[in-house]
Amino acid sequence: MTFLLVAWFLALCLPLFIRSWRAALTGLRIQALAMAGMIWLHADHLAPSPLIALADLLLFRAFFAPWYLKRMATERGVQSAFDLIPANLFVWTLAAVLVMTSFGFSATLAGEYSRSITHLGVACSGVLLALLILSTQRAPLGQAIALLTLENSIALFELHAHHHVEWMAQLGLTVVYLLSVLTLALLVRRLGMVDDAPEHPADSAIL
Amino acid sequence: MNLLPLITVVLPLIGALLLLVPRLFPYARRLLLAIAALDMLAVLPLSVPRDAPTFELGHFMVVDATSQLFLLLINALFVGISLHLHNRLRAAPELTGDIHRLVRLALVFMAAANGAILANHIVIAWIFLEFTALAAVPMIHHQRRDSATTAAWHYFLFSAVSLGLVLLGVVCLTHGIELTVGAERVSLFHDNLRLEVAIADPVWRRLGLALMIFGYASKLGMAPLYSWLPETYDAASPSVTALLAAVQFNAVFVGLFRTLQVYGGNDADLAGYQLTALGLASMLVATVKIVSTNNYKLLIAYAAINHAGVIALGLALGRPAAYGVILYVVSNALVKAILFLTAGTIKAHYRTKKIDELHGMIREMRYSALFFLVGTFALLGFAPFGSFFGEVIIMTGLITTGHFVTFGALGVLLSVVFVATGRSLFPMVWGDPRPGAVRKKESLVALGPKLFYLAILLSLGVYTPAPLSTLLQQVAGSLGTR
Repeated sequence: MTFLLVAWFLALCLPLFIRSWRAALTGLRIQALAMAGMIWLHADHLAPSPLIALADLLLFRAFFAPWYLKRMATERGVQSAFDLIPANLFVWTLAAVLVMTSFGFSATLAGEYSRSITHLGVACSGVLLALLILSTQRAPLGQAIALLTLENSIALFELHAHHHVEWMAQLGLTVVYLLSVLTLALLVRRLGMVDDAPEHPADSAIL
Repeated sequence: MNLLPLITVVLPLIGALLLLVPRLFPYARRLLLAIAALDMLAVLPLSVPRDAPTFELGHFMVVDATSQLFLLLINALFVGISLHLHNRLRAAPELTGDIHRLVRLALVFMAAANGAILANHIVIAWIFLEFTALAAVPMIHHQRRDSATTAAWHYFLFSAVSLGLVLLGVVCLTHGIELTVGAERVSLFHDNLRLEVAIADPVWRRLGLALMIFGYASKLGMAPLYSWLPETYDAASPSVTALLAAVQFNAVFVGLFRTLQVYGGNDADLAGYQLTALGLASMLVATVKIVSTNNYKLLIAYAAINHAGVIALGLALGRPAAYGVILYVVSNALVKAILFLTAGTIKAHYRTKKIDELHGMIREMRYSALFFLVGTFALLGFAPFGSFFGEVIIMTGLITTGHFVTFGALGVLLSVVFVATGRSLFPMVWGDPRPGAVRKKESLVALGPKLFYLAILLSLGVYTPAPLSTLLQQVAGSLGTR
């Protein structure tokens, strides 16, 4: 379990320092696979709800979402050099502070359960670093990666709870994720992958 | 088993599915109108006040005062918006294009909004809200202009983050309950949650509440995550803006309201401080923007943020201002629908959204100008509209509970908004018209939806029919225990 959390954490942090969008997409893939591993290790028997969650992680989060974004980036000939966060000491320090704050916060939340501290610390770091990427990124591709990181972090948070939602709700969550990825891809394609989102004077329609 | 709640969700979905058949594309606007009317017919018998809530579809749907009131409101708004779109397309057939896509999405949006209001399960309500957002994105950039696509992208990002935080809050609350009652006994149905929240681990419970309030507030367009709202409302077409501002706003408000209902009096201090801070920050931001903007559609959008701030301040007080909040929310939805639809008509005629380029509207577009004028009065909280009484009750609540500083801040901010809005919008109506301007013919049918909204607005202030009054009181009574 702990090594899966370490893998998740490395998949979150390393792409921040590697100048490549491919590394970021691989990071998303590893995060999803690590979470699938956690469900597999945790489950005494696979009830419908965890089974749907497992399928969601393996099919959509580990395979479909990164593959779809990669295909679009390749089609558009996006250069491989791509910074998720600005490559300077200030932002790196900020990222480090966010990670430390996350672990400090999770220690307060988890009390004496050390396993929970690691799990919550990693999940909190994911949420905060996703928000950091989102706030510093201007390119739609980068913002899309940040959003998927946020989704994965929330999913990791969910894995900390032992309660499983009803299978209908779990299925709904999976459909929402899939539709979000499709909407994301549609808009990213329209906006362009790496250009800044255009700032046009708004001109409303008349319907 | 009562099938009507299910019908309100399924019927628009059937309409959306029908519009996948190419042969039915030319009938899209008629189908929209028919489905909106049928949905309203299904909602009417559901809205009769009852003593106790009833649960349908295996406890997944609840018909209580909250769902009854808001179902009635959003479906009435949807009928008006559908009628507006229908009339607009009849008057300007060149806009028809691929309207079937917009109608299909609007029907999915409406099914999801009805589902969000009826859901008795916290996660399923969240899923329906996500569906409204996912249906809204393609509607915002329906006409594929760059500005609309950028606005849709920002809307999507902010929506995903806001609702993501709400889901995170739900996960925290679940974990807090799990720590005390065990994972097997956790139930995420609203009625069960009310009992579980009281015994949940307080740290996780409070964290959950803080995240849910912040997420919902952001989805309502409150500061600090508010920038998507003016951009989206400005770039989307008027009917889509009305759907977002009046229908989706209320579906999200129900999410926030249900959260506060579930928490009862627990952590009322945290909810109070957070909502007050978010409300005042939103009002401050909106006031500054209202003073400085030269775009009437943006001005209405910022007024919507300002109103969300007033609603947050009312919610922060709990029960003392609850009736005022509900009255204000209902009135506000109608005002926004009137103003955004009228703004669309004005923009279509003048081809500009700049305030300083418009004068003498009353001579060129008499009825639209009148609606704009009356809508602005209601927006500013004039008597005898419901918004006036809502504001008065909220302000009275602030005084009776000893929140004098908040009352002072609210008074100052509302006064500035009052002057700035009046100074900007009233000259558009009066003054000399453009040289050579011809008076535009406006049919009564086209004005129908706005007349309908105006009648309800007036009735909320002057005479509220007994069933509606009962519903308003029941909803207000369900908030908090303070």
